[in-house]
Amino acid sequence: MSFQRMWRLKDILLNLVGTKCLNCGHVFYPPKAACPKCSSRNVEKVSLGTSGKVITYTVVNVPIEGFENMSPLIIALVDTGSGKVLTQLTNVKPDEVYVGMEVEATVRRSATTLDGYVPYIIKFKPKERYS
Amino acid sequence: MRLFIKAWCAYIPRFRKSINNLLIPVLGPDEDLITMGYEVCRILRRNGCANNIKALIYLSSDKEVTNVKSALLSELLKFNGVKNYDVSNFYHLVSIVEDIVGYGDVLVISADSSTAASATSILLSSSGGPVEVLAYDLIANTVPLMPGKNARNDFHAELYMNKLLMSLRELLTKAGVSPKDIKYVATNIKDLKYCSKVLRSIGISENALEPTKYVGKVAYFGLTHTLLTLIKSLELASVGDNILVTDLDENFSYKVSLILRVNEDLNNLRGCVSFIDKLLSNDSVVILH
Amino acid sequence: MSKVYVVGVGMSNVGRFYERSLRDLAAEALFKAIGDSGNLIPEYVLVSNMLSSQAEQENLASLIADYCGLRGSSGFKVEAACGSGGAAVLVGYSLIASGLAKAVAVVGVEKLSERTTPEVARGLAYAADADFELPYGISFSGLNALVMRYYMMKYNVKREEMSAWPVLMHENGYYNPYAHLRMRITVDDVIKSPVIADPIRLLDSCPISDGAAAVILTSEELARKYNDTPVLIAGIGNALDSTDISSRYELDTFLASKLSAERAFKLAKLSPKDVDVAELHDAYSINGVVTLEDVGFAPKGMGAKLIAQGRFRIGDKPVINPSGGLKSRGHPVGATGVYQVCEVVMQLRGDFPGVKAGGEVGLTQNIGGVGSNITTIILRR
Repeated sequence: MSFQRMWRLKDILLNLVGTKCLNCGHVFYPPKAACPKCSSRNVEKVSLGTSGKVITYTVVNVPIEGFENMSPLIIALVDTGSGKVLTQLTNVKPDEVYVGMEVEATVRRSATTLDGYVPYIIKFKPKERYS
Repeated sequence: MRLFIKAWCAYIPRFRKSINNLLIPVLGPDEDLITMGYEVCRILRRNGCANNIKALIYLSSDKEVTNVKSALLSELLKFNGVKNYDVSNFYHLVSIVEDIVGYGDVLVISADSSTAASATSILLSSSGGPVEVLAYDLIANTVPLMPGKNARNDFHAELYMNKLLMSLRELLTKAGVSPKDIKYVATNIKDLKYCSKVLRSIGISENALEPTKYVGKVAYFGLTHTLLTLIKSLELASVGDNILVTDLDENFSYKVSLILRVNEDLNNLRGCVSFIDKLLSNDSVVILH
Repeated sequence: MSKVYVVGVGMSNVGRFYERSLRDLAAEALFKAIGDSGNLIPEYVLVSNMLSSQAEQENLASLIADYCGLRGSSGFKVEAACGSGGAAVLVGYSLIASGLAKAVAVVGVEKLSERTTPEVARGLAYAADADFELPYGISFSGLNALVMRYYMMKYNVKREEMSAWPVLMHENGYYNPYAHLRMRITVDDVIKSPVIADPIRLLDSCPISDGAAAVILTSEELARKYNDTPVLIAGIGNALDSTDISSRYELDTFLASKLSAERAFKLAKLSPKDVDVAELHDAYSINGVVTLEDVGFAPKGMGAKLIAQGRFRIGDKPVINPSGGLKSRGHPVGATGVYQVCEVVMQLRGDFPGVKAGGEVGLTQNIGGVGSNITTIILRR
């Protein structure tokens, strides 16, 4: 992850910008230049929802280089209702996570990149109840 | 021009470190002052409280970030066309609010992680709100000029506390509130003995310190301490209660005091408040080593 | 199109060889394959590899061809993540089939033992989406763990049933002299092994290996001249899916596995029930199980259960991973696809030095990424 790349992706990573196909209606994330279902290039940007449910998750114990300080890393596939997102779960203990858990988006630090930059990215945390 | 508090929120991480047998709130592994500032505003934003913001003021202990931090926060929060101010103390904060709140709502965010981690947001408006600022004053203490690191000594304490006493008496008069009508005192004074002495001299009940004692029992929160004690007071308050807020700099170089009155039932604001008891408690915390 | 035959195979052992270099391993495999082919000198040297850049070396075809006395021949590197081997064989196949070349060497080589585990893990994660998945620190095992949890919940597969896969792999690999991990393990060992990325455990995961394997491909015309027992590549197919896992349609099936197998079967005019022996790509137990179903050997959701019930051993059809698979034989990433072809060719010839499955029709499937680039090859005696 280089400084330049993070800068280029900032908008997409902080606003979860996906793509909607205007031809067949399919919505998907990450964004692409054409629809994977119907191959149409008639696509537009769309913001995914900021909350969702955990479809599946894992707790990564053997980190990749650069992420050694973030162990244990909880990664989940979250269904926002308008596209699925691969994301990190934060503010939660591994044994509190379950399939179907409701989560909402927030901004947190990612690991320092190999060239020394600290990006902010969207992560998901358990939905808070303010009754 | 009148000044109101429209909404507020607090954030305290769920992470703790054990220091001298106390569990102190600390930043999580992927948190920092900016992300705490984001958390604390996101709720306000989500509840539709923050739709007409003209300015964002960010008070923090941040030494790391080199950008204009308030601008960074505004971008993360997707505020457009908002004026951004970075300030380093409460004196700056209130003096800027004073100048700009006539133009539109001002969102004040404070975040500190130097001794314990927390963040607060307060939405100030000149157009209306459930809590009104009846009166306030700002004092900068210039004696001696350029005080050094160890400026705090008996001489300053005496001099300063006398000044505090006088200015509080004047403030009460200005607000039209008698000392015994102050329900809660929210302050960052670490030495409660001093505080009690001053309050006794003015005639404010010792019980008024309840919110300050409650927050102070958990930790000293640095730059956000006063606002946290204010939020705790708001969560305890009922219609008609008066709250005295006093923020003092450690070196006695400034003092800011406000007298607030709760005009509406705050229970109806659920969603804009912060459940500070839950945040301050140690239920379901994660202890870092 | 000309028919394409495998007339020579050669493999190095799979393991961690600190004293062997990348070019050294490649040379061993290539020389063995050329020897096995009755000395058919290739015109093309195709090299399959994924992470040579970690050893600061690209341009592998030039390097290896010249190192092996083939300066002036033709070639280039073929990369498709961990599916590089199968993809390179497909390219070699097309060179022969089109008539552009008469003798092609496909050399798969990988040297991972020089880097630390986190570095290798990061390199393997490059097969995922660098912009949208890597920033989260997702490892390759993490991505597969997402699939494993989903699959086990959906089909109600118990941990013991899933553990039958690595146990079978080690049963077979025990007899394979080339294999990296030649110890037997039990279901209990698997369940008690450390968690890599929940629910994937250490004994669900293939080891990080060095190794090289090579095959010599030629046309019908030359095949019989150089070898008594050439093996025909009857069908070959490749398919792609997204690199990211977020936009996949389904999590319990690999679209690319199905499609590439269908394409290979179509070309070969065969179907799954014709296959006698298969080498599937089990980087993790879950990949083996899912592709077992996607290729057509087991109904969806039944893969692990059938293995646990004792299917797919000698006497069954097909025999799955008699080499020990990626779990036991090992996974020298870019070379694995070529190892698979070597092993199936030897099975069909009857000279595989480990568990002998024999048979007329064999299949290999080599996977890149989490099912994003898959090549299926069907071989026939």
